[in-house]
Amino acid sequence: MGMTATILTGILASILASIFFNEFVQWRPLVVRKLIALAVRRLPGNQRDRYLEEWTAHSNEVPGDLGKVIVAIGCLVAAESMAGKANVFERVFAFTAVLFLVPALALIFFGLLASGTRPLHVTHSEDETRLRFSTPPTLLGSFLYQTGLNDLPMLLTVVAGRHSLGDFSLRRILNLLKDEDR
Amino acid sequence: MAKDPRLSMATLKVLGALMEHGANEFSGAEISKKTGQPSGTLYPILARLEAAGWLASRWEDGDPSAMGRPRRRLYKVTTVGRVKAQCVGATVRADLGGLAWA
Repeated sequence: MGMTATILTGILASILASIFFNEFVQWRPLVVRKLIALAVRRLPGNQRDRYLEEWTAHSNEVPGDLGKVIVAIGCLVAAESMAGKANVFERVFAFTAVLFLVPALALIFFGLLASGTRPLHVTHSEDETRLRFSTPPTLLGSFLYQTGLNDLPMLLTVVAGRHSLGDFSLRRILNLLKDEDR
Repeated sequence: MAKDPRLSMATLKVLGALMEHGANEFSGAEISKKTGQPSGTLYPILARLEAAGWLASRWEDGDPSAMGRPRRRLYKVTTVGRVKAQCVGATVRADLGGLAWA
């Protein structure tokens, strides 16, 4: 009885897998087209035609049905980033990180406040706003700058969708290395 | 003059892959294959590098209806991009080690 049930389950599973696979193959072109169309709608109007053609060509170049869907999903992520916004994965990651880092953020915030410094430093440039901890010429300020921990509040801007995690760039790391050499 | 792009390891990989092959032009799919960068990471990098003038792109020759498929967009490193990337590459090599094209 047990053996029969196992065999029947196996047969049923393979039939379902086969149906699912065939359905996936049939629906794949439409799914890819829809995903790419959704992605380009997130871009500025003057870039949509270009990326619609470019990303469709890219997905065509990739072998296999699953590969094409993965490329199309990637285009959605790319569009979020190119529109200057963090994607949903980055925002969730940043939110989780902020939750874990609340004690450290509070400690630094009140540490700077206690040293008589305005804790947060906001800089505006032509295309972005950056939020950092202040780095006064004190032991704490110097530690924050050297370790890059003064960038932690930038996570809040990622949660808000204003920045991408990619904004924590290699250049920053290189600058840190240079600073340490001094 | 355009602002220099943000440089991450992924950006350097993309530049490295394009610079290794001289004046050759590559589509996004080819660059993705060479660098292992998925489309979600690759296209923002290509867009930033192009906006900064480090890369140039053009549509491949041919009529899409005659080819029966959409045209590919081909990318190559500009002279400015090559010079700037070599400067950055030299810094990275000095600080972190190991960029063959720098």
